[in-house]
Formats: sequence, C-alpha cells, structure tokens
Amino acid sequence: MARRKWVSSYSGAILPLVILSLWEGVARANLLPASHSAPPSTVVGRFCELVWSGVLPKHLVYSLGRLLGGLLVGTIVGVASGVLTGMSRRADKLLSPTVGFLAGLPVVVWMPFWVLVLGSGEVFKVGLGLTATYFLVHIHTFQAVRSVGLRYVELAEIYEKPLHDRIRQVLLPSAVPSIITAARISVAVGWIVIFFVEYAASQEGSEGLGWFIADARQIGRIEDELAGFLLLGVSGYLLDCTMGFLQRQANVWRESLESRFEERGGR
Amino acid sequence: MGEAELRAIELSRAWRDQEESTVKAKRLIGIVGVVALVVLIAGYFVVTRSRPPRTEVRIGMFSKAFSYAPLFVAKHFRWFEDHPELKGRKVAYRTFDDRPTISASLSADELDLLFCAEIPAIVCRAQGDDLRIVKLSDTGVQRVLVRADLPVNSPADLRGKRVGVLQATSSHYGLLKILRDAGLSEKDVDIRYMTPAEARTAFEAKQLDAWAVWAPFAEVQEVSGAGREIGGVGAWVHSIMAIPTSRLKHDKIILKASTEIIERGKQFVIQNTEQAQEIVAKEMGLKIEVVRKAWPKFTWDAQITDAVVDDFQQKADFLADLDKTRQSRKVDVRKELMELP
Amino acid sequence: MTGVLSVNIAAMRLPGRVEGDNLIEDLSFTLPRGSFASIIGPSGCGKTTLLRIVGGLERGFDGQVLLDGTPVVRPSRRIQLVFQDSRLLPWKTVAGNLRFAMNDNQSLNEPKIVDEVLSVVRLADRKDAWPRTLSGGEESRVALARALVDPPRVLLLDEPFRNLDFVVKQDIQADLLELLRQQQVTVLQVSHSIEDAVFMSDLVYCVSRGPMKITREVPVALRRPRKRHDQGLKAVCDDILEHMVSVASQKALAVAEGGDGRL
Repeated sequence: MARRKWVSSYSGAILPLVILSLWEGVARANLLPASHSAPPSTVVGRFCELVWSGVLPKHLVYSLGRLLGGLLVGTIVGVASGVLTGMSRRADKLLSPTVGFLAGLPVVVWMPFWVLVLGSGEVFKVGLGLTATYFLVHIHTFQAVRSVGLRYVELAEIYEKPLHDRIRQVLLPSAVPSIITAARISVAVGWIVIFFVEYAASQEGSEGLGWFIADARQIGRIEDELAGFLLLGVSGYLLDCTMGFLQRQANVWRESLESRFEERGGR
Repeated sequence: MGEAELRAIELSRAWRDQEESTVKAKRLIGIVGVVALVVLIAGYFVVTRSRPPRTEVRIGMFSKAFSYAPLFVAKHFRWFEDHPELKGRKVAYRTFDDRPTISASLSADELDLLFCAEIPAIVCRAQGDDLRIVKLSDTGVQRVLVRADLPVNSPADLRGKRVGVLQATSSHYGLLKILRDAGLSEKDVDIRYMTPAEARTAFEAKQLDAWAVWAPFAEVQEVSGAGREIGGVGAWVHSIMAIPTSRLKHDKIILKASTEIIERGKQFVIQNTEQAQEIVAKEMGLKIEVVRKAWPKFTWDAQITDAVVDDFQQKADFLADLDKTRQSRKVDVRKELMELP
Repeated sequence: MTGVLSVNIAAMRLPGRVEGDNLIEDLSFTLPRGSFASIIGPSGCGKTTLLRIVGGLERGFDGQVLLDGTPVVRPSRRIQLVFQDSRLLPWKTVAGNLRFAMNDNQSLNEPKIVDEVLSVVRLADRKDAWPRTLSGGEESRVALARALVDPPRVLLLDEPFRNLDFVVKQDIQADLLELLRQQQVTVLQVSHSIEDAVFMSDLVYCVSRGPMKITREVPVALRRPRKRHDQGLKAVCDDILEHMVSVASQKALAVAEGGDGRL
C-alpha cells in the first residue's frame, strides 16, 4: 500500500508530465512553425536565467503588489458594505439595486471609468483588481450576514451586546468563511485581470508580468514570453494554494465536508 | 461439491470471462480512439502546411508609412491587378498594426509580399519567420519628435523623459541608435511602448515628452505645431519589400512581377513628384502640407548594394547586442535574409 | 419584592393566522422570587413561544410581562433564555462561549468562572473543545452553564435535559438546584418529563393546546432535597399524568408514550 500512497500523492503530476513530453517531442520534430514554438526544455532554461538575474522576480513583485493592493482595499470595502446591507434593511434597499447592477458589468467596461477617476498608471491597475474583488466580497458577506440567522442575533440581544461586539463576535466570525471563499475567487479572477491590464495597457509604465510578456512578444522573444507565462501560471497556482490554506484555517470551527476529510486522513 | 455449487462456479467463470472480454473491448476502442485522434491531428498539420494555389497576391504592409509611396502608386494605377503574368489573380492589401501580427501571418502562410523597414524584417527572421528581402523602396532618416513646449534640443536632453515608441520598428532602432550615439542607454530614458495611434493620443495629451515615430506621424505634429524634431541627428533606415521563402519556392512569378512593379513605382515617384504626393496624401488621408514636409527626408532611387547589405548586418548586430531579437540571435543577413540574384 | 415575575397574556396570535385563532389565550401567573416553576403540555402548544414572550423576544401579543413591576419589552441579561437548540456560537470554543456571556465586571475572574460553571454541568474537561465536536447532550449542558455564568434574575429553560441520559441528568440536577437557590434565581422551565418537572419545581402548570391555557396549577410541597423514588413524588407525578391524559382524551389527541410519562 506504500506504492498506492505514493501514486496518489504525486498523481497530480502525471498529466503535466505527459503533456510536456508530447510538447517537447512535437517542438523538436519541427511539427509546429519554428517562429511560434519553443521546446519546454529551452523555456525552462530561460525561465531559470530570468529568475536568477532578477528580471522575472521584479516583474512578479509589481504584479503581485497590484493584485494584493486591490484585494486588500476591495475586501475591506466589500466587507463593510456587505455587513451594512446585511444588517440594515434600509441600507439594503438603498444600495443593493445599484450594487447589483454594477456587479454585472464586465471588468473591461470599468477601464475607461477608472482611467477618468484615477488617471492611468499604478492606481488604475489596482483599481481594476479592486473592482473584481469588491463585488464578490460584498455579495458573499451580505449573504453570510443575512444567513447568520436570527438565532445568534437573539443571543447577542439577550447579552445586551453593543453594536461593535455584535459585528465583531457574531456577524463577522460567521461570515469569515464566506469572505475567504470570496477572496479566494477574487485572487483567481484578479490575477487574470491584472495580467490583462498590464498586457493591454503596456504603455503605462514598464513593469509587471503582463508588460514583460507583451514586450517579449513584440520583439519576437518567444522563450521569454513563454517563461513569463510559466511564471504567471505557477504564481497563480501558488496563490490559490495559499488561499486554500487560509480557507481551511477559517473553517476550523465548521461542521463541513472539509473537516470530515481532515479527520479521516484525507480520503 | 454439489451440482448447484458446480453450476455456480461455472456461471461465475462465464461472467468473469465476459467481463474480461468487455474490458478488452473497451481497451481496444480506447486505443483506436487515441490513434484516430493522433491521425486527425497529424493530418490537420499536414494539410495546413501544404501550399495554397497561386490565385492570389496578398500584400501586407506594416502600418501606413510614407516609404510605401511606390506601392501606393502601384495600388492607385492597379499595376498588380493588371500585370500580364499576374492575370486572374485576386489582389488583397492588408495593413498591420504591430510586428507580432505580421509574424503570425507569415507562419500561417498568409502573405505573398511584405512591405516594411529592414528592422522588423530582421526581428521576424530572428524569431524564425523565413522571408527574404528582394527590393529596396527607399531610404530615409529617422529622427525623434519632441513636444514643442519642452526645452529638449539634443538627444542628451532626453534623459529621464517619457518617450513613446513601438518595438521592432525603424523608429525603435532610430531611437536606440540616437541614444547610443549620445552616450545614453535605454535605462536613462523612460521608454513607453505603444502603437502610433496610442502614442498620438498620449503625445497630444502631453503624457509623452517625446515620440520616436516614422513619417507622416511626426510631420502631422510638426505641421500642427505640437512638436518638432531634434535636428541634426538621425538614423538611416531603408524601406524594403520582402517575400516569404515558401512563396519564393512555389511561386516563381511573384518575385519577377513584384520587383518590376515596385521599380516602376519608384521611377514614377521620382519623375512625377506632385502627382505622387497627391496619391500618397489621398491614400493616407493626409493634408498635402504634411506630405510636402516629409518628402525631402526620403531618397527614392536607392538600390540594394553591398554597402546596404553591410548596413543591414550592422543593424542586425546592433539589435542583437541590445537583446532586441529572439534569444539575442545575430541574424546572418547575407545567408538568411537576402535573396541574391 | 425583587425577582417577581408576573405574566399576563390576554391573547397571542402567530403571524398569518386569522383573528380568533390564538396560540395563547387568557394565560396569567405570578412567580415569587427564587421559585422554580415548570410547564407541562403537549408538543406544539406554544410553550416555547411563551418562554420567548417572557424573555422579551416576541412582542406581538396582547398582554404584559412584568419583572419587579417593570414591563419586559426587550431581551436583557436579567432574563436568560436557554434555547432548545442550545445556540452555542460555533466559532468559539466552549470557554469562548462562556466568556461571551460574562459581564464587564467578570473579566478579571474569567478562568475561575469558566471552571466553576463547567463543573456544575460536569464538563470541566471540554473547556477548549469546539461546539461541533460536542454531542447533543454536551451542547445542552454547555448552554446551561452559559446561563449560569452571570446568574440572571429569571432563568427560562426550554427542555434543558432533553438530550441527557438519566445518570448525567441526576448528577447535574442537584448541584444546579443548589446554585439556583443560592442566587435566588426565579426559574420557569418547559419540560416533557413530568418526573423532572415535579422533582425540580415548587409549582407545575399543566397546559392544554389550541389555544394554550392553564388547565391546572399543581403546587409541589415536597421537602428538599427530594428523592426520585419517593412515594410522595410519585403520587404527584401520577396525579399530573392522569390529569394530562384526561385533558388529552377530552380533546381526542394522541396518547402518551410509555416510559417516564412523556407526552
């Protein structure tokens, strides 16, 4: 059974390895146009060079910074408005129709608006990530607050808890798992949004993975372009793993499928 | 063992055999399916790499530039459409906004002729697109445009300024060369990469201090008074016509016909300046003053010589040294890029 | 007189019901300070609603609840309600839930108070457990302990011993009664167990359903501490059971199950 355990731990790596081997073979056999393909081995080599020389890490830090900035602000504002509309029927009636309408707009539509308000540049890139995050967090928080149920609110009333304690000790803790779920989705969506903003608006500034990839493409440096994509994918994956970890931490108190998996040892 | 038990064993054996043969059948279907898929994919590649019939003349140009005047003349007089050896072919013109799109079209075998500066041709070749330079349209000088209201009078003054340019163009080369000659590196200047359309908006909105771009974009700003060129320094670039190697191999007529037509266009431009200027103005939607302002910067009777090819090589080396080509490769111009007669 | 609870409900109707279709009608009683009263009645007759009204959580009724002469119009610490579904905050440990119930003055003594109340319900070793790891009975006990952290004037118990087995129940009840007596807490309990009610109470109210009314008031004058198999206690239980059965059969409802007289 030791062999089975090894297989199941590493079975996630099988598919990528198969695909990479096929790709390497296809590229080396010149089955694809030479100007638009590069064997994975070369790409990985270039990736290592770019990481070692600090080029890729520099761009990664810029992109991550923009993502996390938008995530932070979007989460704070989203939690605030979600709690507000969740607790107050009046606030809900006032704000929810507008928020609902705006939530449906594609991120692309927000671009000209943000350029107008924030000018183009660093803040604008953060602004787009913020948009993606805010609506997700708001809606999840709102639903979590509403579904806390009268039960715990009555408890807080009996113990005559002041408003800030009600929010801090009852509403927010119950909403945290939903908020983190929303944040996790925001990170995934935001990573893509940030990439596209950097790629499409590469005339604003000269950093970020999206910019690096766009520039490499312009001068035909396919290996650099693919190395950039590799980092993009790896980073996105690691970000999601981190968020998943946070999600599990936040769900410690919950009776859910997750906790049952943990208790049974990951079946 | 009783009869019932024996029968039970027999039955279970039969079921097991049936199950095994079902599993084997499923495996066989799976293998056949995968093989069929592989054959389909391979077949797709084989089919798409076969040559299209010679029923078209697909002409591509990198942005709309002054240097394409001989081509515009040919287009205006329908010389491609009416050429005896190209009779019956459909002629299509296409403008590209950036170099990667050109490279994509080349690898998809969508072009017969390409008009651009030697710089994008070199970068495309380094990337892996197989094309050959067969004709020179003209030679011109590239300068850098600066905002009229800024006290920038020499390349050295560009230090720390925001300069717009598009990668892998004649202007990109021009900017880098001018900076290098003034002792500056890319890092000393805030270079912003953008297409001419984007750069125009930024320049007019004063979000750029300088703009390295080709005619007529620079001249439009000069005529309107928004900008002026840094005088005295410039870089010489050539406008060329290139043909994909695959086209050269499979379509012998195209080389002869196109070089004849473009030569004719050049002669027309030299001998009928005013009419040529009007044709260019109309084709590019420009005011005639802009056309007249740019005209003197170009030499229309240039031909490919050894000196010119040496110049191409110098540029290829220059770009490679600045890591502006794929894997910083130095293209061997004579071997890889020139179609020698 | 402090801790005097006076309940007077003329009519109470659930939302959505028509006029005249009352859940509770003409129900009134007064409990002196420190007394222990139980309500026995069939399922669904409105006992939980009654507790919620007394606790200040329901306001849509004709009538008044007075504590020490002051009307009860909103929930407060002085009237604690231990819900049927325990309502432990799942994101806090047992100790955390108990701390939630403390008032500002108690924060210095937190660990001591936690240990004290948990020992009453025999769960001192589950101090740091998460509610989701507790069994139903353990949850009920923690909810009870929570109500004792900051002893109220009035304690309302909604079937608190429902999930507990006989041994644990007996173990706890004596200590609980002692603590409540010391603090002079007035208790109103809803129970399905006639024996539990009689064992613990000074007064038992039998109620009927449709609408809920008091059909009989049974004072329990037995001396404390009481023993479960005492003849006097059994007599009172039988008396009540007979009364409930006759009321039930008069209304042609389902008859009680066996066991300790559950209805």
